[in-house]
Amino acid sequence: MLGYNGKYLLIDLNTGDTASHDIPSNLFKGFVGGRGMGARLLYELLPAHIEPLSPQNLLIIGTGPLTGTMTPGSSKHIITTLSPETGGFLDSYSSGRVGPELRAAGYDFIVVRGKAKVPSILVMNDSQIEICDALDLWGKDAYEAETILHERYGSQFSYMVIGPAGERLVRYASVNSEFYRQAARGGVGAVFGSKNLKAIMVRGSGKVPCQDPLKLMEITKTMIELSRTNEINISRMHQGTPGTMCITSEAGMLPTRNFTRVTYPEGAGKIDGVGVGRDSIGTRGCFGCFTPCSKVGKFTVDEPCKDNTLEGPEYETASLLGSNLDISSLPFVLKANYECDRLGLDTISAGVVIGFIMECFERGLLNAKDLDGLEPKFGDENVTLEMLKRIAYREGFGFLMGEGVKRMAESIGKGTERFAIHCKGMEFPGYDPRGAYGCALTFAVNPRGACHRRAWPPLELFSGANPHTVEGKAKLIKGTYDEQIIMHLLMVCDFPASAIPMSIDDYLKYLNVTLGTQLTTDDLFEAAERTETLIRMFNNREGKGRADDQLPDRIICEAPPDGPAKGLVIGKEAFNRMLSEYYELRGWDDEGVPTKQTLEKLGLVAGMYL
Amino acid sequence: MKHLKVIKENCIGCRLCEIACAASRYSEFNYKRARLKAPESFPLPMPPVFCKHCKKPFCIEACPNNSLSLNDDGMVELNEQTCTKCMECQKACPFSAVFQDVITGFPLICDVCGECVQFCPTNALQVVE
Repeated sequence: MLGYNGKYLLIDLNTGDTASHDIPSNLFKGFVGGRGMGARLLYELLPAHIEPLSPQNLLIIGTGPLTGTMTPGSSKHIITTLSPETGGFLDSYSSGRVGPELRAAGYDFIVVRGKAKVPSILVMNDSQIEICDALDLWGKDAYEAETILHERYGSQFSYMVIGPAGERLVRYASVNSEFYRQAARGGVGAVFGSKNLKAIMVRGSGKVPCQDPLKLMEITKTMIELSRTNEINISRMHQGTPGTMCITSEAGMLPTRNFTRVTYPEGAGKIDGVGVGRDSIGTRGCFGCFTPCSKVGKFTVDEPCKDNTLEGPEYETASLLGSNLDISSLPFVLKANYECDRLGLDTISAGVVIGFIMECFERGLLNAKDLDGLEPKFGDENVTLEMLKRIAYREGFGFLMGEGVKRMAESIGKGTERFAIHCKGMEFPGYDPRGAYGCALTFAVNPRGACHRRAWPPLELFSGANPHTVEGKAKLIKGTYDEQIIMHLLMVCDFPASAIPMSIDDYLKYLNVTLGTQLTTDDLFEAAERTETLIRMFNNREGKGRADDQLPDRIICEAPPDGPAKGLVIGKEAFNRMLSEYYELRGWDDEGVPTKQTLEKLGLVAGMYL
Repeated sequence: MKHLKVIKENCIGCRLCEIACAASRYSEFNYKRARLKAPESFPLPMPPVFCKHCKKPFCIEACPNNSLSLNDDGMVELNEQTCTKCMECQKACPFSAVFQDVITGFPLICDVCGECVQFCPTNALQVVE
């Protein structure tokens, strides 16, 4: 199909063999790209019921039709796999140049299977594939390894690199790109590690497929002009994503002390947008992005005394490694952020895991002996940094911590599952649903686990609806969710949508110019429905259903002690009503299984899109 | 003489200038064909480098078959008819501002067309006389 490369490259690490496969054009019509096509390939190519960390798992790295085209926020790539955290569908995203390079190399996706015999790197130079020994890199942290690779291979390659956490199969290990961008959620780094894969590098010398580049440039010129005066853009350039913290703290949805509190006035002017904006030393945009949100932070270490710099912190990091641990020091948050990136850990999950342990310790459910001599109390910066290392290297109790809060609670028992803050095994991001009840649904139904990227929780606060009710939320959340899916099919970042601003119609203009088509918004929304239902089928096949779309009792049954929702409880009955309403809107039955009519309507039957 | 100027503090490292440069010239998205380039730098970005059109250009001196010359406007110009793609010009440039086209192999030298300026979101690039 015009506007796509129309093929994926299958790479077998067991044998070193590669094979190029055409992607039928009707699949592009049905799934567009990105998340949809990644899900479709995973559904077809991954055997059911395998272990996520076995060689049989697949790493599907891909792009969308707008990747690398100068569409705002189009430098993202997606990694689709079976999640080591949830045992279900995982899509994890990052920026950098992997996506644009892959498209320039002549492919829309690569599919990696098997396991290399020894620690290796995978080098893709146009369609040439080399699997090289990387014994000298194995064991190095992600920053060191990427620095060495940059020196060896140069600036035209793009990089995906894991740290020690990925090598040791920490279930929330991340994959770094260009040092400071991470596909961090759900444990893609562990899947890399399980395949003996330290890094993947991609370089393409061709052009990115696009039917009318000059027309596309004209649209971008208009968008740049709009963004110059957009207040959200200007504010985000100054504050970065931590600007969100004043919204969440005020709304009573900021995770604090392992979600026992929902506001954190102690962090105001320190780890929020004001603090980060004041203390950062620069701003950076992703490749080709003109609405930059990345702040560059600096902190000093004593031994050896030197300054370290990094892109960060993002809001999620400032909340989970800040307020959630009752730490309001920006230098600490930067230091912990740096450690996570270096070790290859998801800052979100790591923050929730440490918060959980701190609560267990303070409640006497774990003692210093259990924790190899550590006494983790909320607010303790040194213990946090030490725990990050023990998690990544899986030392002593750090082994269990590397399994995530779900498995930790199962192992510890004593009622800890009540405050193990996860859904399906993936830890919550920086939003407590008790401040906006639709967020509970977002976290519950997201196929990859508790995730904020499908319907950004604070949006509910600006919708005009009462945040502290479930009434009408299924419809509201589904609407936001579907728009987000479209962006993940096109593989564009959703930030420019508010920072320019851009509507789905604007993205459609980009798509039609790129493909030379006359698609409509209905086509896109239908592809979004189809994608979500296919992913549901995937998770159903792996044995997941309604029972997995549940949240911990702390969130559903406990009232927050502070914030606007003080004293209010979501309640199981209300939550389940909202869940049922959502299933119905999607055309799924009350167990969360797509009905026959829905599958037929969406063409998810043999001979159509399956 | 008109030339390109960069305001270092404004650059956010987005490299839109590179993408726009190649796209406007060749009607394709392939930043590796750009006539300016931001050197690798993390986490703080480095602004792009581009030909400064020196008064006594090292690249012209280095060219073994006189394929480079200064035109009437004082800008370095390439004659593709005689260029052998030996890239001696690239080696000679003290500013690392000569690049090589990944498709054709010819040297790429900024001719101050100003297209990149229109795409710079933070006005870090300007054409000045």
